[in-house]
Amino acid sequence: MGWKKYTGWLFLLPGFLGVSVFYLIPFLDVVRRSFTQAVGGKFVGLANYQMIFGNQAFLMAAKNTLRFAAVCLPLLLVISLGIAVLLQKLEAWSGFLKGAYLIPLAIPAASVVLLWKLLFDGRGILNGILTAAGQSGIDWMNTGASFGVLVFSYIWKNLGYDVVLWIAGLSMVPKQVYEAARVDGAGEWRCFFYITLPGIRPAAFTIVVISFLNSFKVFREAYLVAGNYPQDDIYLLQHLFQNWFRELSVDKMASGAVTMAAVIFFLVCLLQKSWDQK
Amino acid sequence: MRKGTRAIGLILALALTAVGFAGCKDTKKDVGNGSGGGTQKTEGQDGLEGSSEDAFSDNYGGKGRFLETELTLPKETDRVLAAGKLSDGSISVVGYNVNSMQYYIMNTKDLGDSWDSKEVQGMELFYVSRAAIAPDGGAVLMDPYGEELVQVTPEGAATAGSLALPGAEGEKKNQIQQAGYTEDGTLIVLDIKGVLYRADAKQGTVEEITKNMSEEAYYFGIAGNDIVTVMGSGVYRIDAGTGEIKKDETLRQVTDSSQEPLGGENSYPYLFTAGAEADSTIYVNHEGLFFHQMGGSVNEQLINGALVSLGDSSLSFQQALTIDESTYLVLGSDSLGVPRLYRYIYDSQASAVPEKQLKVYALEDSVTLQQAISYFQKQNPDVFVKKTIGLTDNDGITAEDALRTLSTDIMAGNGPDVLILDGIPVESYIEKGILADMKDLVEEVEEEDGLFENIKEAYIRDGSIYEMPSRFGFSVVEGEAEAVGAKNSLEAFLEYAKGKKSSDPDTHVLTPMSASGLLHELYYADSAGWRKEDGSLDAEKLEAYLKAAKEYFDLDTYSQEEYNDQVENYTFRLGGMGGAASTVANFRLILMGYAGIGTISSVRDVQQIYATEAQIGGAYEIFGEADNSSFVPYVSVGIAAQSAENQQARAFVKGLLGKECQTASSDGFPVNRAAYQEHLKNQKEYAIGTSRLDGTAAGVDVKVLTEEQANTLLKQLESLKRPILTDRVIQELVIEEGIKCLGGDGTPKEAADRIMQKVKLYLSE
Amino acid sequence: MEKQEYKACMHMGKRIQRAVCLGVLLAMAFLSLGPVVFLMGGSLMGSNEMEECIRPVLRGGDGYAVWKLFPMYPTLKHLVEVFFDSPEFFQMFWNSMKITAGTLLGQLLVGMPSAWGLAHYSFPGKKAVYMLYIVLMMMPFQVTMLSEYLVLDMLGIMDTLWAVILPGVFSTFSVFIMYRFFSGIPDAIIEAARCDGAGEFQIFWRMGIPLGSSGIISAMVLQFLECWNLIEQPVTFLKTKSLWPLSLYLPQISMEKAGFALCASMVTLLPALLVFLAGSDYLEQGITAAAIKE
Repeated sequence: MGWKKYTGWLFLLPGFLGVSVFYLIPFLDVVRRSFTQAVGGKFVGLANYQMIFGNQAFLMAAKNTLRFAAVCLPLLLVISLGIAVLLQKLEAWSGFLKGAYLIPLAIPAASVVLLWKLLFDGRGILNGILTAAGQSGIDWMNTGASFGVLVFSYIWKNLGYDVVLWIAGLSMVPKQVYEAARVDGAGEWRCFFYITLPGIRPAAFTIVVISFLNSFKVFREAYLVAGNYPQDDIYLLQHLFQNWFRELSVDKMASGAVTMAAVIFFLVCLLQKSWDQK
Repeated sequence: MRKGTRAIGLILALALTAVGFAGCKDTKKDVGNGSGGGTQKTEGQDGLEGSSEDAFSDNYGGKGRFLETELTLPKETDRVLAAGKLSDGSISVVGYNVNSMQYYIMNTKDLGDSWDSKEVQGMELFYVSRAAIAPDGGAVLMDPYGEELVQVTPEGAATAGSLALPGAEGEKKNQIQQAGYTEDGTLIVLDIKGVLYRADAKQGTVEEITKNMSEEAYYFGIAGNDIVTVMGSGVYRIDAGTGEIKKDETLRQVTDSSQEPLGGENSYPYLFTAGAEADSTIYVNHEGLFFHQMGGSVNEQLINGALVSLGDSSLSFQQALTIDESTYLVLGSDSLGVPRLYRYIYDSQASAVPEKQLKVYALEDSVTLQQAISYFQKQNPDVFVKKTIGLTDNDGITAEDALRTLSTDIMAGNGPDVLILDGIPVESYIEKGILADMKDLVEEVEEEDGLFENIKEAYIRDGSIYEMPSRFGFSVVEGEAEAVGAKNSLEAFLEYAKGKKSSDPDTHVLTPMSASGLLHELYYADSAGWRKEDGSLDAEKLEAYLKAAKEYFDLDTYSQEEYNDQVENYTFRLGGMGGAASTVANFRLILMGYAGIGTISSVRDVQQIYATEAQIGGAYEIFGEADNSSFVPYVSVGIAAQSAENQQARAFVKGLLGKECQTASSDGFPVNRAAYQEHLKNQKEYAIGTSRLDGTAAGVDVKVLTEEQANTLLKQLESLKRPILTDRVIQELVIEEGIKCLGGDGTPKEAADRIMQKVKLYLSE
Repeated sequence: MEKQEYKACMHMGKRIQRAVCLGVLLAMAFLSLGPVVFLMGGSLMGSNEMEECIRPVLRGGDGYAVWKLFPMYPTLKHLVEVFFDSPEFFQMFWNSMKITAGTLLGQLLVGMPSAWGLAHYSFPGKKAVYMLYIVLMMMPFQVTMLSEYLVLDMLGIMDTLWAVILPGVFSTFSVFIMYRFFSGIPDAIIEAARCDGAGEFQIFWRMGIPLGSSGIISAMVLQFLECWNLIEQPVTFLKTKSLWPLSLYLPQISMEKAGFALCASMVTLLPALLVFLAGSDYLEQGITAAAIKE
């Protein structure tokens, strides 16, 4: 029965084979390519990496991608947590509200894009409202405001998802603890900081990972709304990869991708570590 | 417990294999019937094997095969309604032109090499949905209900009429689905209820052919004096005169494997016509063209769909014609509804299966490319030319998507052998070693026919030629002497125009152009000098360009009436030849505008300009810096490095640059001097007639160029030094922002800033 | 009973606070629902009215685009157009169906056991596989696009629906979700079953699946939305346009046909919305479960 410990592998195997074929092997191929010439496959060592770290577009795209994650992740997590807490208190309406928040998840990207075009165009609906209110319009997609638009669409789309996740986390915190605290005279805020926050920590890992994952998906909207050369602030790594690929700069694309993967890996590890430690 | 785990593994493994197998089977079916396309599939397999020969290697090497030629329909044909073989052996086609809303009957006596086209006269404006060609050369055109109908005699005289179609249900009128003439001249129509009638267009009467048929007919083909019709239970051949059904089990089962029984608007899953032998039937589907002898038990495949365009599942079939036992025509339309007419002629010397394949890629299709392919195909019947067009109109695919697909193909080793480089990132391709040096090839052509050296020189880099345009044009200022004098820069030209305007505010100084048209024309005229030494874009020049475009656009205000459809519809293909200079000439002729800017792309353009300007006293000159004028390259070609030794690829490019192909079309000046001489020799004289806005007639007789004029033109062509800025990404950004700017969104400075920001991003990648 | 007492105790301040809360939450809900209302209004709006509304965006010039919640002259024209005059719409609809059904079925077949294996067995390399799955799950499509193409080409399934379905089947995201859920089933129950002599597969089949059903369903709902909205994969792997899914139909419609586009969007959204609403309870439970552990 020595091999019994491999039973889990039997369940995993078919899936793992597929994952290897469709994701792992391609990814390893990308790693290989990051050390070779674009065409011809000559080994060039770290030259590609040197090249991309001296490349203005790459640095900018990497910066934007990180900045986007750094801005929108905390924002989304905080807003959704706030709503989740309120919803839990509210009880009535909560079913309807949860449903409503989740709906953006189901709207196809292309429809969202159509909407965004009408809303955020220089002559769009939003500017119409602004001018009617006596403000001057903003060129949403061609100024720094585009970054805000992107953050907004990310939060809009993922809010419901995260709210539901938080509610799940909140429900794990035993009610008795709150009651005990209240008896001790603890106020709402104290309760939140000393009971709620530590209580939902286990759930937070999943939520952060999933929200991070979804932050990459915002590229779809950015690309469909603003094309392959958008305003500087919303020029993401995926834009660059696509453009590199069009120009057949597979070497740069591969090393850029590997760098990105390494950063993601590092961040996820870090996240897990910090969760494990506490 | 052991058993349990083993069972799991087994079950999952089985399940996985089952999924896999089911997948393969399904997929093939999918591709074979109605999607995918035979030729595409072949390509996929090529990739697997790594060489194009392998796909065909298991075929026997016999001789004799039907070779395909795509026939060029006269230019005015946007839609083809019917085709027919006449009793004199010639072929006629009913065509429709969307712009003029005219119907034409076109006849060819040489199997489609040349056409003689006649407008259908006396047509009231009604929507013709069905038509048929009679064997005597006459035709009938009718609306969907048969209520309005025009019968055309062989001589071309048209009489209006109407068919009294029974079967109306209250308000809902019965409709005609299909019409056709039998060999003896009887008109057959099919209504949407599936009833076949003999019709008399003159009397307006119809007579049911098969009374009390239990089934409805879906669609039909004419085979001599019989009708071959598809019904629910299969295919039947019916005597059109007596209504007698000729029993034939093999024929009946032909459509059994088909998944789509019904036809669409002028498109059918199967086509039927008579075979060359008595009592035989020909049918066509995506698998090919088949022959069936009545009473026989087999269907013989004459043409394998996979080797010709028939296998392309995006082609929908409209009509098949048998000319004789070695010649067939198939009419259809592609996925965009563009009519396609293919001719198949048996070549006993061609190997039964083409041994080789040549892959040609272009972002956009062009007449030049089509001609080069059919020329090559004629010379090399053993090679199957697989043409891939990345960008087709109206399907939402952007050039970006298309280029990425091309990138994956190239990286996977499935790339094309020959590339048409218009719109493709050439710089990057050369840098990556995708393109082969073809200097020797170009020089071979140069030795044979002579090339415009100035064009060739512009493409030599480090002693190699990776890219060579096959055609080109150039930008001109056209108009009164003063305007032509201001030819050296956009600023000078606008200075002239503004001066003119201030002295006479009520007149139109410049010929009208749409925003997009204007931006393109000025781009052609100005962009050659935008790149700085370090490769970046000159912001000042860009801004000056946008400013000039804006001023040009705002100078004259044309009323809606003046700003007619022609201007509105003035669209551009990517780097394409608009022939815009002749449009300017047209406006000059009706006295709209003292001057204009446009691209000259053919000797014909020049003829027209000279004729017009001779009448109203003007001239034309190359636009731009005096000693550094630019040209617009078109259909630039390159060979993939992996096919550098490929003789077919080399032969194809040689053909494209060679005299015959270069002479064949006037979509830009040929780079081939011998072909240019042919163009000069082939000049025709003709007359243009039109009317001015005030209703007075305007006209001009277009003459052959005088020797002096021809010499001037030659000197101009030889003086062109550098290509315009052909980078597609930059051009698209400029035009896109330019249109916004001209539309009133922001100043030229703001537009230039936006463009510069994006271009900077692009160049830093 | 307890609740009522609690409510009774609430004094006025709490009441106001509650109203404010509700107000904020409702406002957010409106923001979320707005686009759907927008789509509905747009799909019933006639071309002229639409043109009137959005002309500034289309053609530039003066003024700003406006929007009406309810069209002045509602019409079903666009709906008719979508359903009766757009054969390619249906073709693409079916392609979407095929892709989605294929992917979901495949995931049930291989993803579910994978998740179970990861959740309830400890074996060498488990931790590594788990991390690997998370990292692969995070990888944007563009990263492995080319190499994936090469693999698909090697398998000979390029330009078939399988080129989109198979990678979808092995998506590690749903494994991640289901894993989370299966982890929530207490080991004690399974140990008990094992003691009763149940085989490993039986445990998975009889206990894992029923107990994990809401997690499985929620993974499926999320995957459905994912499949229904695929854009990059089909564009890259399907050259034959007749194989394209519905998600690629919408971007093809230009702004000039905004009314039609909105209507087509609406029709596209409907199946997703239905699946979503039908599965939302499970989804909630599933997501809930996913968050529980760790």
